[in-house]
Amino acid sequence: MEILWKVENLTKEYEVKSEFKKIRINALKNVNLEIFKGEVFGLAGESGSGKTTFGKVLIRLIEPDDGKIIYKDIDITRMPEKILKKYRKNFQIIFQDPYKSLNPRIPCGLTVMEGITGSKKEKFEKSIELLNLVGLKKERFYDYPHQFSGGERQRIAIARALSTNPEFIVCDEPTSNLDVSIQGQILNLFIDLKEKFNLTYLFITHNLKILRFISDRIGIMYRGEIVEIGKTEEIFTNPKHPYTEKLIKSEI
Amino acid sequence: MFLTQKTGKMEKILTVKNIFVGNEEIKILRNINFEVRKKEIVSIVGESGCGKSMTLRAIIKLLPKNLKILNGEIFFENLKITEYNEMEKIRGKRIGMIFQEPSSYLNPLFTIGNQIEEGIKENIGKKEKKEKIVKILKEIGLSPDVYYSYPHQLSGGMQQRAMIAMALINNPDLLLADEPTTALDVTTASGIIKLLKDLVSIYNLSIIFVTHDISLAKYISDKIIVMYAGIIVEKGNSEQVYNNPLHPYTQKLINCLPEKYSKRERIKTIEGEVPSFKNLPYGCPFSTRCEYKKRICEEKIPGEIVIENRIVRCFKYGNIVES
Repeated sequence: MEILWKVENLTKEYEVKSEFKKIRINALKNVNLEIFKGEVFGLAGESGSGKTTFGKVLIRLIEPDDGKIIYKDIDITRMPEKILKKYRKNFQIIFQDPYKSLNPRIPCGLTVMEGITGSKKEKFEKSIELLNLVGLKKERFYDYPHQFSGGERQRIAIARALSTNPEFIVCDEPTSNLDVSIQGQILNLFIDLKEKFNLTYLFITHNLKILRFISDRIGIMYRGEIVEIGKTEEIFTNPKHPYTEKLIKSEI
Repeated sequence: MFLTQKTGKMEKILTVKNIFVGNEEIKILRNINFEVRKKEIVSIVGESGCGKSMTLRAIIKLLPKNLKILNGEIFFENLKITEYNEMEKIRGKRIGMIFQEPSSYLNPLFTIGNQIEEGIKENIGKKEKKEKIVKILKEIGLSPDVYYSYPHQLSGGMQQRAMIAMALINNPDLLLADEPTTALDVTTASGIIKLLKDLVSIYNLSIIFVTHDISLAKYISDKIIVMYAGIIVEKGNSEQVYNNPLHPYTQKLINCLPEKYSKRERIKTIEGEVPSFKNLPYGCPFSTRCEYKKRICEEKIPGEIVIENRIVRCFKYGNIVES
């Protein structure tokens, strides 16, 4: 299988001021992993374990302190932003709270249109096509974020992410704010899109049921480290690390 | 009447009878009927906007200003809450409440000990108060040092435990829990859930647990009440409701759970959305999304039908119309 991402010894430290002293916290500590093209890689762990930081460092929304990020044999760890821009459109991110990640003053159609290149007409047609693809009607092109429901907003965030024809999407807890029925619809949409565009996902979630349902391989994070990595079923049926075991047992 | 096999737990602590909540324009809750017995955990399940939290608010009479109880009765033991005007004697003392986001209910400027102390209604000295608080902190799984901690020094799970300590400090008979674990992690959440289950026997407590997660409801509770658009569509023994749901809505809700499917199979979701309270369908509120819809469903609201020890409101099981 083709390796899409290769991460070597990735480290990120944060400085936290606590009362009178400064503490350094390892958000990421020597993270090593590979993500193959076309797979869904699930990342689980408690809040504060570094899942989100990993997703953001991987696509260089946050600069790493140490280590290497290799995207398709190209080392992008220290690549200047100007050159990186060429690759940026290949990777996208979808956040947990779509209300915070969409600009409240821009109609949703225009948000989606932003990432598309071409003439004005092409842009407009492509963005309507994307809205249809995620299940939104053309009439809602000029509606603002507050006029949509939570599930619909997440659909817009997905359409916006797809607007640059990415091959890789970081999905950072995309369904944890949604009702069960809407969660099902959004998961279905992720699966449909994955198959249609042969997408690769880094799927971050603390919901083990979703993790097991959607991912091919999973990594378990604990305090900035990946404690276990492997095929989903193997980890769920035979967890090796005591933390993984505890996590799986705690599921209700 | 609602039947339960669990004898010995028969003493009723709360009775909600034909409650309607709303105003001249809209009706939020329509004909809500249920009972909570001593040491029983009852879950209320449904999507957002189905009236779960509003039911809890009606019980402690903390409804939003524009809404009121239009009809019906609520009894707390033998006290008629609906006609009782000194609710402050009951709230916090006999009925405790915990919420989804503990951080927004804790005062950032006071220590946890201070905030718990404030709630003590008993007339006792400062030293006894402190002893009482330290005792409850231990029971709830927190270190006694938390007495001197400020909310920001605690994690989400610890904050929720502190909230539980606050709710239980006066030994209430009933705890209302409004999605207390939704904002928490799996491991922390399961800790809280297990704690709540243990507290039932330690404190002789009954709990009404509101959640949108029906599998969690099955795990924690004795009875499940499924609500949709302000009415109770199904209620019964947890195992029965979860393993053999009768109402089409309950069936579909359970069918939405990813754990019911093999890897990346398409999830059978519920088409459409919950109707808004301003735009309720004339007949059965679920008729707009129901595959078994008949003509009568659009014309009349189904009444309560007793099947297999539980109550369902659906014309699929007989033409009983809501009076």
